Amino acid sequence: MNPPDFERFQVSAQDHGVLFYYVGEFTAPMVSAAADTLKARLATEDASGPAKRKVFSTFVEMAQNILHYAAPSPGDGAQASPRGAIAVGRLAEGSTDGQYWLVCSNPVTVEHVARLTDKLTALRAMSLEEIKQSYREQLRNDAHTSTDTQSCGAGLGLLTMARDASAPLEFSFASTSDPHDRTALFHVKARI
Amino acid sequence: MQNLHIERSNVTPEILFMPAQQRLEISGECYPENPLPFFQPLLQTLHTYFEKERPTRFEARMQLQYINSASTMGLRSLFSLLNSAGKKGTDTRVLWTYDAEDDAIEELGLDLVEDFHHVLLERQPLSVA
Repeated sequence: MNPPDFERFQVSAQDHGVLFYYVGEFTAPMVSAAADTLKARLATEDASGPAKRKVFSTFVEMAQNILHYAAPSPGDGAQASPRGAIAVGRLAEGSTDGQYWLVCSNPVTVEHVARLTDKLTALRAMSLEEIKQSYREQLRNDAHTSTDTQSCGAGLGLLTMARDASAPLEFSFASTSDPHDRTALFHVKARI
Repeated sequence: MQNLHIERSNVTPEILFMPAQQRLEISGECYPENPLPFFQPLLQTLHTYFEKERPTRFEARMQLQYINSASTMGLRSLFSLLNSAGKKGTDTRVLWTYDAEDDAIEELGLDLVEDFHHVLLERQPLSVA
């Protein structure tokens, strides 16, 4: 990318209010480092403590969901780390606290599309109180089912994000460059 | 039994377990991507302690600024363990300290103790001036 292209890239990022952006492999050390970076970035933001906490929490949930559930990208070996992308931003002037947004994307196997669609569609229709109630039930259920932390995490992660968001979570699926159509690109957007 | 002290890391809280004082302290942030290796040793130690010592009372002081969803289950297991001790006669309390503006942590404390009637939760909201 030459300087004028970088300049255009930055202007575009600025217009969208981007504070943080990462695309690439997701590993435990990477998520930890990214969380530290975001924490430092948020420290300079003029926003309430609760708002910053919710942004951070949503980031961690998104990143750890990618870490645990992203399907291997087409062409990657089975041992490859999951790949995805996350962006965190803030809308320009207008609201009292300034509204934050987070978007993430990662490949998922097509088998998961239906299940995720059902879960997120149901979540979108819930009131805050229903989300909190669901959260309590999930916490109770997960404790009684398997001890495998991976399979237990998904429900609570999405519920946590939904609870902190100021609007229903948005999501979509798109086709990837996968020649065998075994994966789809899953996007989630949260507003704080 | 010996004290257990685990230093804070950037994704895990500080743990201080003092069997002679019948006290456990957990403070900081908790968001490891895999909570099991963090919680298991602590749960094992506490399980052994309660089995061997059968203390008359026990206090767990928890001050968390943030916890990820994956870790809430480990924390719930801890509450369950405290509840079992409570059922067997130990006067078990949890001092739950949090930022007064942090409704998520406040509610988590209430959610965690909801099914565990042998644990007394004392909420301590702190006002950040």
